[in-house]
Amino acid sequence: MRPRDLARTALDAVRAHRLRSALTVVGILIGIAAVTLSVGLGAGARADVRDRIDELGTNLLVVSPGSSADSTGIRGGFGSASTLTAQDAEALTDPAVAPDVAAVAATSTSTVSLTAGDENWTTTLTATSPSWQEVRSRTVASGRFLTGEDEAATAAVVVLGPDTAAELFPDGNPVGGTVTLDGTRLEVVGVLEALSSSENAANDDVALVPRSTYAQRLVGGTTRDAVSAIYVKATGKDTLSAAYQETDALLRNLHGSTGADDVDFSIATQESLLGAASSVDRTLSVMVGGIAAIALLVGGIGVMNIMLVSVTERIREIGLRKALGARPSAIRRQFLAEAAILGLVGGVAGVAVGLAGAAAVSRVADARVIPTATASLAAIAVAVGVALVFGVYPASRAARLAPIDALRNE
Amino acid sequence: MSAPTIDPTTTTTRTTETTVGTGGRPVIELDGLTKTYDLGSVSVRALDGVTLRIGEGDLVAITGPSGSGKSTLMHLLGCLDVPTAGSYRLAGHDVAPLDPDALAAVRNRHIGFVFQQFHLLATLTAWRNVELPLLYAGVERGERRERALVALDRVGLADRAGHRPGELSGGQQQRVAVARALVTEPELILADEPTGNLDSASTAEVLGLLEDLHAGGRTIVLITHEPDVAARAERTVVIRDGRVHHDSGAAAGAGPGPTADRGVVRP
Repeated sequence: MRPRDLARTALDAVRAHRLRSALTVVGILIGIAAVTLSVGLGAGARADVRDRIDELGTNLLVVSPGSSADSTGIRGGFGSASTLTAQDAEALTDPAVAPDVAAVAATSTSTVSLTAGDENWTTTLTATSPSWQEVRSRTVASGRFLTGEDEAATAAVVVLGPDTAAELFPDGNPVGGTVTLDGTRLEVVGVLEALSSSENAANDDVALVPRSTYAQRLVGGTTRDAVSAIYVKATGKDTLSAAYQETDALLRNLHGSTGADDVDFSIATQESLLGAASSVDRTLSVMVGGIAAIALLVGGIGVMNIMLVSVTERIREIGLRKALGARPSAIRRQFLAEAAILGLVGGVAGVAVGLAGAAAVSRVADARVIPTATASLAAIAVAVGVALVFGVYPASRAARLAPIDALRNE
Repeated sequence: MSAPTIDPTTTTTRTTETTVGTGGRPVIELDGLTKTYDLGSVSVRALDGVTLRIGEGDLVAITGPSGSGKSTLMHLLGCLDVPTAGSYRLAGHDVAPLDPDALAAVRNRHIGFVFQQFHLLATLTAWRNVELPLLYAGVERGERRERALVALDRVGLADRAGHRPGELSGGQQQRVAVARALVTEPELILADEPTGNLDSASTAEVLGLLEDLHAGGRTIVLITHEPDVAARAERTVVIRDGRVHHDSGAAAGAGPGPTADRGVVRP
């Protein structure tokens, strides 16, 4: 029997029992829709994590003051005197001591209110060094970034994040403009490029000033050398753990820490910072995936059930086909083809419903869903595969029927 | 199995060795054909050493009462079942040692079936029903359609090719089934109670068609329990208790002649 004739014969049989076929297809459809959705959710969650890592900068370690009791790397106390200093950051830049460290940027932050003309905006003022740009992997959209001269001259300059710039200068180019902070006028020398797909708006709403300007002209009362975080960029992905060891050893040495108990800083990696966030998405993904697996199993059993009913009901047809010269293998193939058609229709419809569901979920639930063509095709293949697996037994039963028994059936 | 194990009717077994009637080259050669059904503790001998020869172009009626074994004989003749003992040569080829796939091929190429229940597929139009054997022979679709239409024309239903069985009368349905039996140009047409479900007008129609085919040189074996149907055949074989009880085709040899027997046989 030719493949085309096989397909036509199977299609005729599926069409002859429209309602029954449709109900079987629905079983597969639900499973595949769930698969499509869960794969999309998983991809969305992974993309989120990657974006957040990219926003922080690549191959990054974050050193925070205080003890490192919390395994997630989130600091417990806030506002207590900082134990990290600009000297710590300076020491880390020595290639002899920390050869796997590419760049270091110490930051101090405080929340301030900025004014530009009639506009007023509260943002995070960050004092840092020119190396911040490299460490955090940011680019400047217009103007320039902070320089060593700014630092040396205690220059009254500021670089704004794109959101901050938009709030303070809604009408045009902020570069060359002036913002005021508690009466101190700062010249805007540059605006950062917006992050490509920012989930975390805080990274685009910042005002960056030189450390010297921050300590001497803007924020009074702070210990001059204290910093609120040191960002350490490793030379590469492979040297990240070496950079961690070097940073840890150097800071322990500088702070005179001997045991595990008296460490007054903590080092977090990107993974540990993002672990908590991504695990939520993963849980959701696993849950939907579990539902998908169960739905597919139920769908497969549905196919098997319908095929068994079909074989019983069509005993005479099977007998006749055999009498007319159909080999057992031709009968088996016909029933497998019918199962495959049910699976294919269910798979295609399931992917369509899954994609529609993905669009709905990303609108309603604020979860990112990224459907991919590969995943959709794979889901359809899975649907056909499930239908075939569950169709094997009914098809073999049909193939094994003796033609006279089948014909005798009234 | 060259020698019949049992020889209850010496006349019939002997006469099969001579070619009978209008028959030329033998299409069917049965030699001591036996079929035993094993039903646990009891074994039932449905056919008990049937030896029979049917020549090319013969129209033979096989008749007998219910339970006589004629259905079993029909199944064996149609290669729908395999004998327990004895040999069956169809168109000169021994079919006993064949596996299910090879038997399917034999049914497909050499035998055309006409059943009492018509056995048409309700969802397919007349010509799609007729093309079924060609489908399994691997014939290309265009040629299948052409040959199916020729066969339908032969049974006078060319204008009903696009009708489904439900839209046809019983007689027309059986004629579609005959067209399906013809479409592969088989050596043998095996009709199992072809008029059992038909009224007298349709019966005449279908029997007339079979006689036309016979006149055209087809070999036809007609299994029936209706005496007037059997009477239309030129040769009648009566099966009783799994054996050939009487064979009107034994005319050429010993035993009663065909004319004497005609119309006398009662199931």
